[in-house]
Amino acid sequence: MNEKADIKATRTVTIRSRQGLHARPASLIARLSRSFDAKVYLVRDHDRVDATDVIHVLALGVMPDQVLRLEAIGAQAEEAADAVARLITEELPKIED
Amino acid sequence: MKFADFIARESISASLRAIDKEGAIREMVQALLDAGRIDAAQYESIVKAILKREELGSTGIGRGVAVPHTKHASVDQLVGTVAISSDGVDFASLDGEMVHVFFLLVSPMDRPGDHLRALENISRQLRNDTFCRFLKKAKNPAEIQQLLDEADNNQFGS
Repeated sequence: MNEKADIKATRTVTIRSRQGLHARPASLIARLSRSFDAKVYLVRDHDRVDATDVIHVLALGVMPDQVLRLEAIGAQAEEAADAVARLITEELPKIED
Repeated sequence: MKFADFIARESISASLRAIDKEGAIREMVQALLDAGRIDAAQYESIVKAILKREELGSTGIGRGVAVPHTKHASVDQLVGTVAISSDGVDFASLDGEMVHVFFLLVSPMDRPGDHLRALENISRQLRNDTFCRFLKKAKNPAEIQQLLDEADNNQFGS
C-alpha cells in the first residue's frame, strides 16, 4: 500500500452461479483478490468479509441470484474491483463443481 | 444446517494416519463405509470423484482446514465425516499451511443447496478461533463430537 491507499472502488454484482458461492468459486475469488495492491471485501447486508479468506467467503453462504457489494481499498482498488466483479459475473457461472 | 444433520458420528476420527492427500481421502471414505453410510461397491468411485475434484483446485480453505467433497449418485442425502491429523497433511492449501482438520462431504447430485449450507455451517464455526483450536487438539472422537454438539448449540457464538 502507498499514498493512494485510500482509493476506494465499489461494484454491485449478482451471483449467477447456479450453485452459489461454494468452495471453488470462493477459492478463485480469494486467489484473485490476493493479487492486487488493495484490500477486497464482499458485503452482503451487514456482513462484510475479507475476500482473500475462503472461510469467511463460504460463511456468507451466498445462494444463486443474491446480490453482493464489492469493496476494494488501496492503490489498485479500481483494477481489483473490476477484476473480481468480472470473475463473479462472467467466469464463475461457467463453473459447476 | 447443523453438524448433526450431516456428520456421521460413527465415522469421526481424531487420529488420521495418512500422510498424503489421497491417503487421507481414502481413510475418510473408508470411515464412512465402515459406518454404513456409503455402499462398499461405490468406495473406489467416490474416492476417484473426490480426487478429481481436488485436481480442479485444492479444497484446503486455510487455517489448517480442508473440505474435500464430491457429488455422487449413490447417496440420497448429504453425508459427511470429520477427521483430525496431529501431524498434518500437505493438501496444497491456498495459504500453504498443512491441514489438520478435515470435513469430507458426499452429496446427492441434485441437492446443491444442502452442500452450500453445510459449507456455510462449517465455515461459520471455523471463524471462531476457540472452536478451531479445540478441534485441532481433540484427542478422541468423543471430544470432536462434543465440540460439534456445542457448535450446533451456538456455544461458540458464531
